Amino acid sequence: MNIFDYLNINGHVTVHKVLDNGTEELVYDDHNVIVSGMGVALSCFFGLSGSNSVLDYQIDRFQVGVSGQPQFEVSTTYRLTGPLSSAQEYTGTTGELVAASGNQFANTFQAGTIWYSLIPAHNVTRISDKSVRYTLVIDKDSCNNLTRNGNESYINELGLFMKNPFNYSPHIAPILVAYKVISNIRKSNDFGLIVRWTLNF
Amino acid sequence: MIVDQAGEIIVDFLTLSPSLSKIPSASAILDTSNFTFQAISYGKDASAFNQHGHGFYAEDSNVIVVKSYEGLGVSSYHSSALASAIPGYKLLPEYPHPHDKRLESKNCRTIQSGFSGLDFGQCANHVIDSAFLTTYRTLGCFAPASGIDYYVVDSLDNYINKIIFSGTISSTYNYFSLMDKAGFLTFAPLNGAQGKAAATAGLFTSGALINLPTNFSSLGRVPVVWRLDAGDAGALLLYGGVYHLGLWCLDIKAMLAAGHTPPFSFNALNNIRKYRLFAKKTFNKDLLYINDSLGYGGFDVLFNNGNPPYDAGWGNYILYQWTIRFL
Repeated sequence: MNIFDYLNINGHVTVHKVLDNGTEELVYDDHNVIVSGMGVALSCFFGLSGSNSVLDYQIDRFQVGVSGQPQFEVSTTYRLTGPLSSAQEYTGTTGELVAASGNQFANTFQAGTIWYSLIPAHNVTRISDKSVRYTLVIDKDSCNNLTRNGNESYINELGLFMKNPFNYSPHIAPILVAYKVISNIRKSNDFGLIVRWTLNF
Repeated sequence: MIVDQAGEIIVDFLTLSPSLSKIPSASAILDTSNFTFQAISYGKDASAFNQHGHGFYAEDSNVIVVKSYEGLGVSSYHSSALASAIPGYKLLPEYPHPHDKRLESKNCRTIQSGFSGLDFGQCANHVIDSAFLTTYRTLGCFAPASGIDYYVVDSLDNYINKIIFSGTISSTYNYFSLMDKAGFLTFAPLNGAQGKAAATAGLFTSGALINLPTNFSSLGRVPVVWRLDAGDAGALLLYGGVYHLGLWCLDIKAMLAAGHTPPFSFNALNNIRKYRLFAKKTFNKDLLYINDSLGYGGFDVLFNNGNPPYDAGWGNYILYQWTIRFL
């Protein structure tokens, strides 16, 4: 048995649309998949062989993707299939998301300009001794009107990333630790999205 | 079993405020060593803390006296023999539970001849506490670094004439100041690569080590290795054996609440460290069970290390490896 079996580590995701009048409409509610990257990062942490700063083991960013398929919801998934590929896709011109680029540890070290959206520290909430909730706020001006090859695209996958467990420098290499395929959402500036992602240890 | 507190430790570091990095006096809290493995401990059933070597105080000599229930022909000590001899004594430790916060939840205080020891829920190291200068040899569970004699006897009455086997044991843990009075064996302050090098070289004089395999991250396995040298094994056996092992991280909240600030250095004599259980392993047979063989006394050959480095058992050790799987 591994630590996931003993502790029953799991997660849960809800996605709400937020309308201009402030009302929330639940559009998705399901468990997530804790992927193998979480185990890799924890073995690095407890094996004393990566970064010696706790901050590098914190989940401080996420990705939004447009190519999710249910068959990718397995523990061996190590990256999103179709993550947003630019700051422009995340924030548009007036969106409030904070986009940041970096490398990625996706099975192996992957150099390149890979885009993430940062999770503000105040959106990380300890909700019990063994649970932490990440609130991902995609405001109405962010992630809008996405396209791929000239066709409309839909937000349908999400991933949480640990910052830099292997202590890559000077550019960090986040690692995917939790993944979720959701039903298609065609994001526009008519509404925002709030993703409440709870991990239970 | 990885216990629930392990999840709490993970959530602790996932939710630490990044703003601490901007505060010089607090930034050390962000060091991973505050949350990683920092101690190993040994345990046994609670009732054993008033049996075996704990069960008798020899007032007239500086010796551990233990009654064997196996007769004159057995030159090893079997903790299980006591369970057969004393009605109602079950020997078995508590079964492990995810909510466990120490190895044995029941009272593990030795009460004997008008004095009592400390209750840590595990095998404590009273000998390094000056408050137990004369009584440590009954309170246990480890010998002094300078050594102590032991008699395993057939009867406690007039025991000096009832010795089955005897010798001297000395503690390596106390020689190198690796264990505090609560019985926490510390980890060497080494990173993964340094720990692997030390383990490969057999250097355990700074404590337990992380001995990572080359491809540890793809395996998701973190092996913890440590040594139990002859004299320490002998002492633990005379006091009732080993039925629990505990793997501990620091309890940083408790230490901060007590006014301590990082780095939380280990000091065997005056240890400010407080610990939180991460995992425990419970056995229904004594890990130190040994038999005589071919006319040789098992205890004498394996554990009787004397005043270093003189006796047969000197240099013997048990090497433990406990692998925590993250994948």
